Amino acid sequence: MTDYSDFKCKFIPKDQIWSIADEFRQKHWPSGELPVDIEKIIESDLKMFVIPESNIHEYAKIDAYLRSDFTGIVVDEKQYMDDRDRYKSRLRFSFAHEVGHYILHQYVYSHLKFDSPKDLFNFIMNVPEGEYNNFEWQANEFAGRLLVPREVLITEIGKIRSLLKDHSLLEMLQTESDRVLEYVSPYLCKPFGVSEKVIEMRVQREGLWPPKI
Amino acid sequence: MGFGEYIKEKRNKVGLSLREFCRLLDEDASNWSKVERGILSPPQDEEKLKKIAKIINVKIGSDQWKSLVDHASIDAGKIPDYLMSDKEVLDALPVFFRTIGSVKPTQEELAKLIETIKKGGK
Repeated sequence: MTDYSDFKCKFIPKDQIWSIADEFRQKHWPSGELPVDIEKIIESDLKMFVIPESNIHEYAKIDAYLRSDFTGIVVDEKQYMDDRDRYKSRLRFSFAHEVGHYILHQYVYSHLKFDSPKDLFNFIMNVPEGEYNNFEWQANEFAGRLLVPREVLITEIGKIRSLLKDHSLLEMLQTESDRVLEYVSPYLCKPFGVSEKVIEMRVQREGLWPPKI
Repeated sequence: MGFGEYIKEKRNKVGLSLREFCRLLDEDASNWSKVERGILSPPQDEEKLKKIAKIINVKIGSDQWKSLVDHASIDAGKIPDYLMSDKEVLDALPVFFRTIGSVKPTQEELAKLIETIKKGGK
C-alpha cells in the first residue's frame, strides 16, 4: 500500500489565492451583486450537480464535499433543506470552500491514482494532519475572499462608523478591538451572506481591523 | 439530453436552486438530485409532471410540455438497478471534507460515509 506520510500540500501564497478568487468571481459572477450566488455558479457555470445526501453530517460530521470525479458537490440534506434556512450562510461558505478545492487542488486528484475506496481511505488516514490542514486552509482562504470582496468589505467597514459612535465604542476600538469586532460582525456579515465568524476572519486576514476611524 | 438534464437546465433558466425547486414540488431533494443525474427514473404521474411544468413556466399543451412528457417517458425504465462498482464508489467519494474545525474525519466516520454512499447509490 502506498505510503502517504511524506505527502506535501503545495504552498500557494495567500496573495495568489486571493487573486485566483478575485478572478474567479469576476469571471463567474460579473454583476458583483451580493451575496455571491455560489450555488448558481456551481450549477450553471461549472455544470456540476448539487447533491443532497442523507445523514452525512450525522454519521460522518461532514457538511459538504467535492466528488472525486468533479461531477458534483455533496451536501448534508437536512442542512440543505432546513425549513428555517438556519444553515444558509454556512452552506454558502461550504459550497465556496469546495469550489476552492476544485480550483486549487485538482492536481491532487490527478496525481493520486486510487484503485479502490480502500486506497482513498489509506490516503486520508495517513496524509499528515498538518498537510491536510493546509489544503483546508487554502480552500477556506479562497472561499472567504470569493464571498467577501475586499473593496466592498472596506466600504462596509466605513459604514459602521456611526454605529460605533452611537454606542460609544470608538475609544474601545483602540483598547479592545476584538470585542468591538464581535459587536459589529452581525451587521458587517449581512450583505455578504456569510456567518459572523467568517466576516471576523476576513477583516483580520485582510488587515482591516481595527479600522482607522 | 435526458429528462434530468432537461429539467435542471429549465430550472436554472427560471433561477431556481435545487432547494427552491424541491420545496415547490414537495419532493425529497436527495431523490430529486438522483432524477436530475439520471440515477432514478423520472416521474410518470401526469399530475406531478404538470406541477413540474408549472414551476418551470412550461404551459400545459405547448410544444415544451410535449417535450417534457416525451423526455419523462423515454427515460422511464431506462435506469438500471445494480450495485455500485469500486470505481463508482471512488468517484462518489471526496478527497477533502468540509468538517467543523477542518479536521480529518476519523476512520469510523469515513467507513460510515462509504456505507452511506453505497446505500444511497451513485
